[in-house]
Amino acid sequence: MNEHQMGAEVTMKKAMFWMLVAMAAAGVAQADRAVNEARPLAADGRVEVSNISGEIKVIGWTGDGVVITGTLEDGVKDLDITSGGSRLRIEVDLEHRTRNNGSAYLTIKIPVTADLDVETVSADIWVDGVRGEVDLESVSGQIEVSGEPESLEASSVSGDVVTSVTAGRAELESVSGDIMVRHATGRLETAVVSGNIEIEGGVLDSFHAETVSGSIFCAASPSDRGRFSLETMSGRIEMVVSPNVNADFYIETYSGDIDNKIGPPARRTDEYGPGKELRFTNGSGGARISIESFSGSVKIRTD
Amino acid sequence: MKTLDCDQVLSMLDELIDEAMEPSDARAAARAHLETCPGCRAELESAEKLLVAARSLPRSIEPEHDLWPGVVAGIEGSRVVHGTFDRPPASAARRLWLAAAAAAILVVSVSIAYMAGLEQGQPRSAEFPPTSPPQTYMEAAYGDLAVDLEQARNQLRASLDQRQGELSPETWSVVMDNLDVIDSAIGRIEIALADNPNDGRLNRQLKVAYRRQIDLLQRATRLPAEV
Repeated sequence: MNEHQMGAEVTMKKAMFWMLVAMAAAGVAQADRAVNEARPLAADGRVEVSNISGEIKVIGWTGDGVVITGTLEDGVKDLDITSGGSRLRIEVDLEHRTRNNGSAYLTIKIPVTADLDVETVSADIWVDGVRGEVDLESVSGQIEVSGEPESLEASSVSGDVVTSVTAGRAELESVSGDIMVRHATGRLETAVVSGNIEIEGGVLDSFHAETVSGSIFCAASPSDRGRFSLETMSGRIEMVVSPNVNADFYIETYSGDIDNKIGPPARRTDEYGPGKELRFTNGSGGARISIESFSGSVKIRTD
Repeated sequence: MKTLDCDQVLSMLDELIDEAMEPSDARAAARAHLETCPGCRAELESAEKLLVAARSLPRSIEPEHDLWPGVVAGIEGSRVVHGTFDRPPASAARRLWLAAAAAAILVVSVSIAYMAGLEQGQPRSAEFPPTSPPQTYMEAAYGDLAVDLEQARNQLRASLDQRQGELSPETWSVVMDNLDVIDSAIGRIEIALADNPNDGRLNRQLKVAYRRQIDLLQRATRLPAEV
């Protein structure tokens, strides 16, 4: 075979390769099925969604009922939609219930005041503009919520939980994922094991953060009689406060350090032991900020 | 009568509930503080509710199916959840929350094992065999408490181990890694408590660590099947 013939053969093989790729892509595309469904639901109804893999986007809207659009990939057997009374259940039914075998990407519009309950395994959950009670749970998917739900419960194992502009009561939990909250108000409870908690902006009536090894960063403000409680075993706690905040601070650590930029330094709790504590009132007091760690360091600073 | 602040009163809650606080003027000072402090009052009410709930647990649980052989096999074959209890005698405060934790775990683990047994269609049995764990809250609370707690935690862990095949390797790894993180924290706090057995902060932190461990074990046993 001469050089010219070899070049032609290589070109032919390349062409066949790309043809196969194109055919495979076309096959995949053909396997995807579009979803376009609508169901009635009372404005104060409840929507329950279950999906293994892919993504669930939920948008609160002022239109009538529930509208479901999106794509079902190969491996998804069907989209079961059942309604009873004021409840609508949307369930992605797989041919074989295994992870990464059949993803569904759904966008669901629900009445803005409806309640919402979403459960996924690896699918991400994205919610915006729902003002009812919202309950979200995922194993490894990311959860992202914006808007002002009446109450919010969100939990994951390894996925991050990200919220902005929440109101009322929010309970956020993860194991190794991070929790990030922006501009929250009302009551906020957060808990992780090794993930990190990061709160920025907002004025909270109560805030509780709890980690084992993860760090806590809090740059939210307490309301006048607000109650903040930040606890960690070995994570680092950093709190950013206004220099004018009216709050009573109670800070304790067994073996960590306390670095305070707005008040007096910490003192040892025991002449021979490792404990440190710091109690002081900034401004006129009123709000209560409690921080406790076992071995994690604590830092209080201003903006 | 001296006045007490929130931290002092919170550190006394268990003794207040236990009515073990001496001298009486300390109790009176704590009660006076509680009358004017809604936050501490809420903490007290919460602790009292927990105790009432624990006390209301059934004195015995007779499952429809004999679950214990499977649970024992699971315990014997499972990794023991770390945590040592050969420490100085527990304080009243520590006893109270340990008891509540033990009671909670017992109920949860029995429920989980019960459900597992139903699914497996195991033979019917009227009562636990003699090797069964303590069947009452009070036995668990004030008997050989530490052993009971560890046994109950191991039951929960055994139930979780039975689910390993249903969870993805990634999820399983996350759960195991984080149980290790909590175990490690518990170990470090217990070492510190050995030197300072009456340190209120350490007792609270240990309580939180155990609660996190229970939460994670419970949660992991409830995760949806992935494979």
